[in-house]
Amino acid sequence: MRRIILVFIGGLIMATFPFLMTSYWVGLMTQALIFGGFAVGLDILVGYTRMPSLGHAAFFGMAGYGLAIANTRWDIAPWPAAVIGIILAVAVAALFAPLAVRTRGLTFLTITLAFGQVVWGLVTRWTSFTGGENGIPGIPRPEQFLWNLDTVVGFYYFALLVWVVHMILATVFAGSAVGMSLLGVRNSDTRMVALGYNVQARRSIAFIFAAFSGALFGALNVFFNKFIGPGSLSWQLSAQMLLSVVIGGPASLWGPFIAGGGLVILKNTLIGSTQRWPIVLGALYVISVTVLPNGLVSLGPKIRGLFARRKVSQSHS
Amino acid sequence: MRFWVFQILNGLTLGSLLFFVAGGLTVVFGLMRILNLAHGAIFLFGGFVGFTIQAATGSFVWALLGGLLAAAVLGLAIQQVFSRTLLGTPFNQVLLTLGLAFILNNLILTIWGGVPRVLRAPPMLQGSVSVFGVTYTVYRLFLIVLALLAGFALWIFWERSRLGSVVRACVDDRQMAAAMGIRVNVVFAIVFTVGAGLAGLAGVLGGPVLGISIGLDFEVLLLAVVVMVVGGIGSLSGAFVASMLVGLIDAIGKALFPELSYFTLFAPVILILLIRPLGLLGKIAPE
Repeated sequence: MRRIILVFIGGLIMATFPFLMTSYWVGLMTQALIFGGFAVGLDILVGYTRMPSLGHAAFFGMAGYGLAIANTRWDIAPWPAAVIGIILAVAVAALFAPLAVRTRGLTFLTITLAFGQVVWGLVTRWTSFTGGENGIPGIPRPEQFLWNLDTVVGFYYFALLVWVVHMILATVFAGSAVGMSLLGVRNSDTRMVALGYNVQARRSIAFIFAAFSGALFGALNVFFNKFIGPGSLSWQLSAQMLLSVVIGGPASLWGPFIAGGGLVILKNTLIGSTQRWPIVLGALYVISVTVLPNGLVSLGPKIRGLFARRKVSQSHS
Repeated sequence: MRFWVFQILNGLTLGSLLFFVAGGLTVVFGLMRILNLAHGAIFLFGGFVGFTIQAATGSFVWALLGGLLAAAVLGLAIQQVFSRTLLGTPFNQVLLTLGLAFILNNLILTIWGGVPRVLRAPPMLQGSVSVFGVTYTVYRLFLIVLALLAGFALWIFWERSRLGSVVRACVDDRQMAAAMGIRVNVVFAIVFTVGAGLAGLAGVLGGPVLGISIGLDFEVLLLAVVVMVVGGIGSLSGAFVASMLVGLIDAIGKALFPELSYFTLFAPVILILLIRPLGLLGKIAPE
């Protein structure tokens, strides 16, 4: 019941947000939806399956570059170009996943990192095709839609729609038999093998789902910025997304969304106000793991625990 | 022919520097299952301290000692303050050490500014000599010899000394070593400190070759993590072989296909890890 109330209040705030805030904040909130949504998808891989990927920004950027190149170089309309970008990223993920999931833990982290660097290296060096360090500017937003996407508020509602659809997808997936079996893989893969599950296939599915989320929001991000640069497939972005999942609380979907979106808002506010924002960001990482080793979601029970203890001590006095 | 000699020497130079950075990283991981992502920042910190000392005293040797000491102290401080989180879940370690890396990176930028610096090689190692028909800097050759010597010394220490066997025992089975009366915490502190010191030393040693600049910390960290995983986690000899291999692949790849430089480095790494997930000489499966 409390969950329904929370979702209702959250939904009300999100829906009325453009009426309450300035367009600067609406733009920022759009970015929070994009990166928070990406973090939700990554949670399926990192939180549910405990595979620490440091390369999923590659799919975020790959879809974006696919879209940008299809649109600006081959004159394909924005909608089909976005579909091309997303299919490209998911197809590459489907090819790479069966290889990558043979490894685990730190080796998996390094393999995904190496993969991300390969893509990043290709994009930054292949200047004639990808624009190199300068990226590709001037990608238009789609014109055919129920409402006008070329305004800040219009695009915010579009991002919100994509985010809601994706969140429903992720929730249904995590609650499905496959999603539950991922938790089994996380807790004891040997037992899952003994029970007759194809563990590698399940890991691949989680990998591809996270790549799909990355690709979806990567394409959305290109429409938002009307631009793509190599920053959107850098390993720093992969690290930021991984940290979003960890700070938010792995395998909770909502936690990574709040942490992922919150990080984007915080970063933008800090960049505007201080040169020393990496110190603040770094301190946030350090403090959050030393104070909240189980992520943001553990904050609720912790506070409740505090109150509970107070009640007990009151009843004693 | 001359091209190959030149590129192989370049690769070995880079490999030598990488060995100093990755050696500490891999032993700390093997020992305590800690992935220290602040290792690159410690490397850069040592380099900048060395730069300041050389600017003040003009001596390269003092710079080396200062960089080593400053990095070791920083390492010890990190180990002591955060030992509880460092020994927690792998996710939290990654988060903590990456946070520290961001903080250190920005502090270094605040203290020394964003201008790339270069250290001067000591006067007796300046100039160049002819090797197989290639004119090559003496200092770079010195680095290769130094890495060979250091690798040999570390190997003797690792295989023959009492402390070396204690560290190896802890790497193989921490609990059993503790049960035999070895104080794992002390060994952990020593190894972490020495590893950080070696990284700082590498920062100064690399000063005349790579320069010292913001951004180098993450570049070196990436390469060192690759070396560690390719060589096999916790294996010092693996780190040596992998350092040289990664150095060679990087140098030759960059020379042959400059526009594919990242591809030529990371694609073979993916291949090696797919064939041998535990690394070339590794025994430990990463958690």
